[in-house]
Amino acid sequence: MANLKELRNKIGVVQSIRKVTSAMKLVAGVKLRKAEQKAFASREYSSELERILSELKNKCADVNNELFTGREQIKTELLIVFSSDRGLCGNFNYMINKEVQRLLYDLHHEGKRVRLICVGTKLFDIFKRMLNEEDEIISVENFYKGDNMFENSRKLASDAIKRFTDKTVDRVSVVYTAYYSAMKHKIEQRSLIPVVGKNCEDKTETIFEPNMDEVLQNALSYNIGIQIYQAALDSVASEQSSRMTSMDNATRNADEMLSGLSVKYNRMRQYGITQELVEVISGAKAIEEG
Amino acid sequence: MKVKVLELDKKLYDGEALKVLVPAVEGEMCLLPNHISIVTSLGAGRICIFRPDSDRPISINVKGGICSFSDNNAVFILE
Repeated sequence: MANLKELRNKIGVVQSIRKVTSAMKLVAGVKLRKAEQKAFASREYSSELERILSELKNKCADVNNELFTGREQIKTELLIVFSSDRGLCGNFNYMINKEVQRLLYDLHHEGKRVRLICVGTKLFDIFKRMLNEEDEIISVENFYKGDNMFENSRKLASDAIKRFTDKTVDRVSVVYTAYYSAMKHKIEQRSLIPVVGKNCEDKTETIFEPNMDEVLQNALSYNIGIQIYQAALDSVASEQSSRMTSMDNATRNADEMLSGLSVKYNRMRQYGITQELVEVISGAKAIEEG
Repeated sequence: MKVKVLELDKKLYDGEALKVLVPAVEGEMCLLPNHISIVTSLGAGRICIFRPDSDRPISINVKGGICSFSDNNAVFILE
């Protein structure tokens, strides 16, 4: 009965995998709730700040700030990409990977160089292979760890601004998975430098206090940090939601496998018993007749 | 006029107001309905919101941030 033993082992393995995936699903569910609350709580803040700046872009034509207006000639583009530190989260990293590949293809096609800041270690090696010789990739580690995400975002923002003012890059955008609900996330690319203008009908004059340059400089650098922070929060929520869904699927698949395997096991066991009975009965009959 | 006061992870006030005292970086100023569009940096101080349905103003302490007023909508982004 070596086969029965093999089946019993297989059932044991599937059962322990099921335990792991269902525990991971529960953990991801708890983490998702926290991440979702954080992402939704700061969304209005970040979108209001962005709205104020983008409306100003339409109203004020005479601004002399490159962070606001951008450069005419774009040779190098800086992409800040948010992936995850850990795996087992379904197609979360795959979708980011696919989008970045498409973006890189387009940028290389237009003859632009790319600087890639990769937040999250999971896709670093893959992105590294996709770049040309003149491109550069930087990995940001431990970004999501602890409660330092806001500080890390501001550091990343000042790094991006420094690269822009040094003229190492001419445009900065962030690529991340926007979180709308547990079932809906979408890869989005958002321009951080320059600010994207929004159509608004109100063209009335705006006063700045103390003066336009100072207000804009403060607001712009703060805005970049906030947008990076919001992208990171959205990315974390999407990752957890992806992980929860994929672990739920894995648990369901394990359940299906388990029921199939136990039917097979029972059938085999029954077959063995029947065969033994037949042997005993036919043996007894042979003795009776003899 | 409508006033919204936002902190990074919460909304401190969202509603109607008769007037708002703003601790702008160059001194305190008062926002009344139909004020001209203005964007100002906030200094350390206190935002006072006078509501139509109450005699007591709401007061919010701020360290810094940005205030935008246009089209009778005031938005405070606090740092």
